Amino acid sequence: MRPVLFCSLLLLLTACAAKPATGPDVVAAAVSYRSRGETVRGLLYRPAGEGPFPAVVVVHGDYGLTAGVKEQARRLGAKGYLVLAVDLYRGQVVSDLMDAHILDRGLPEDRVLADLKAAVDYLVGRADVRADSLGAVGWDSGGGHALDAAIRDPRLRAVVVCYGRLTTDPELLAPLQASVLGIFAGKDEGITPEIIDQFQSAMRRAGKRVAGIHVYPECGHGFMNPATPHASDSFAASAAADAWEKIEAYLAAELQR
Amino acid sequence: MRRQLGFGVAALVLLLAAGPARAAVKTSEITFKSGGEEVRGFLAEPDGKGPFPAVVVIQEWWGLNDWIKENTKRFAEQGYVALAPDLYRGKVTDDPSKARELMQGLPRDRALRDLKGAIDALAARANVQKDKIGTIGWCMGGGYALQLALNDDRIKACVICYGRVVTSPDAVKPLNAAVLGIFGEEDKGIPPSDVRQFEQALKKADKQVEAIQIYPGAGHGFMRPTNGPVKNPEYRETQTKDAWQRIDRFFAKALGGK
Repeated sequence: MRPVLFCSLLLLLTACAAKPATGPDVVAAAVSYRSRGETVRGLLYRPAGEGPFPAVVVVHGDYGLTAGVKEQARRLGAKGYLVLAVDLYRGQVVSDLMDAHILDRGLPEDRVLADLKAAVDYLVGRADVRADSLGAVGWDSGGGHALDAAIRDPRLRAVVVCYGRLTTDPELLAPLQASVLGIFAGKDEGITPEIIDQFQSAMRRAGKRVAGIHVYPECGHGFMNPATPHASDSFAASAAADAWEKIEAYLAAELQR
Repeated sequence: MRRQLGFGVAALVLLLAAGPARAAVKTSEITFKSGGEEVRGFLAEPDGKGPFPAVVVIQEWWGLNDWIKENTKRFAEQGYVALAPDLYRGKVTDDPSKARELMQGLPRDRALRDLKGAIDALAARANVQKDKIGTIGWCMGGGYALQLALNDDRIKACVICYGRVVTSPDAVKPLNAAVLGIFGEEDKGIPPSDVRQFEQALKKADKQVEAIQIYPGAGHGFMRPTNGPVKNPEYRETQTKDAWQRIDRFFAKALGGK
């Protein structure tokens, strides 16, 4: 009896997680497009309706396009964005920290940037996308890639960096056309308050707009990921919910005008 | 008795491993300018006035640990002034989950600024030959060694040990250094196909390539014998020995050490 009850509860929870109670239905589909002579694949999350929709490129972190990242992409889809979740690892997804490191450390930067530019090209080429309302969201190393992509691609108007690598040189930030929202973890060993300060002052000096910097003091790196890939990334439900509110409000203000 | 013999043998092995009488080397911690900041580095210098060729030694994702310092000393023993900048500003770990955060959080532009600062610091020293500066790095540092060579034409020789490569001929255009690449055939993150793309890009752009070596039976991180206090299961002794010989020969040829 008890296991049955537990199972039904679990099923109910899963159903709730898979289909948010609010927002339009989302249809997921695998898509492919060209990136510098190669055919690359991504997952597209399309809201119901005809559009045109504002669009968001979702950039995964060092573990690849995991179930957790797909969930985040779907969530944005349910908020009315046409979302393209890129697959920089060309199909590889890992669950072990060292494997993640091996892939992350080896990923050629020029290929990443070409893939992200190709993702924007793909979105702009779709009739159901509002080409002037494009953003990018990334977690972990994907946050750094999202910012790097926006620095090189003026079509991106909004960037969300979730505990990802920042840029500290105002000259490098000069071409950036997007505003930036930053979500950070207070217990992150790598992204220190000094680095965040350096980023903010570089943005100021470059005349760019930081839409918000939110540091969650009690959280560690990876706190937004419900499908915690390893022990050191501990999901923090209430901080993650707050971060999502900030992200959704920011994207709505920037892309749904 | 047996135990003593054991110690005796161990001591002998250590002596043999140390090889023919090592040259005297002076090590120190220095600070140098990186943009408006002061950063630290581990410096190892050969005995004597010089001027000597120089090498910027770049850390793995663990930080400026003992292995990187040992390698830095090793270059000094071979006649180079060697400087390993502390890209993590004092943080070092043997815990992979911390290393992950440190590597992912490191701003690439700040790291490059630190590395250029390290070149400035070397070039300003009376015992350094300014036009004979090279760089080497492993893992994360291998990628930075290449980036440094791409972004600073004072680098004349660059060794990338299983670090991030670039794959397009356009991306290698600014390179002014000769290149030696050390990779493992079983590295899932830098598969031989990527390494070959890198090599093709270098050749197409008419760059000087010493060799792009892909070692069979080796994966990522195969040159480092230990992970903190424990053995590194990825360590491959034979391949490592060959890699060091190639590195030594390459720097001697390109920079003129011993």
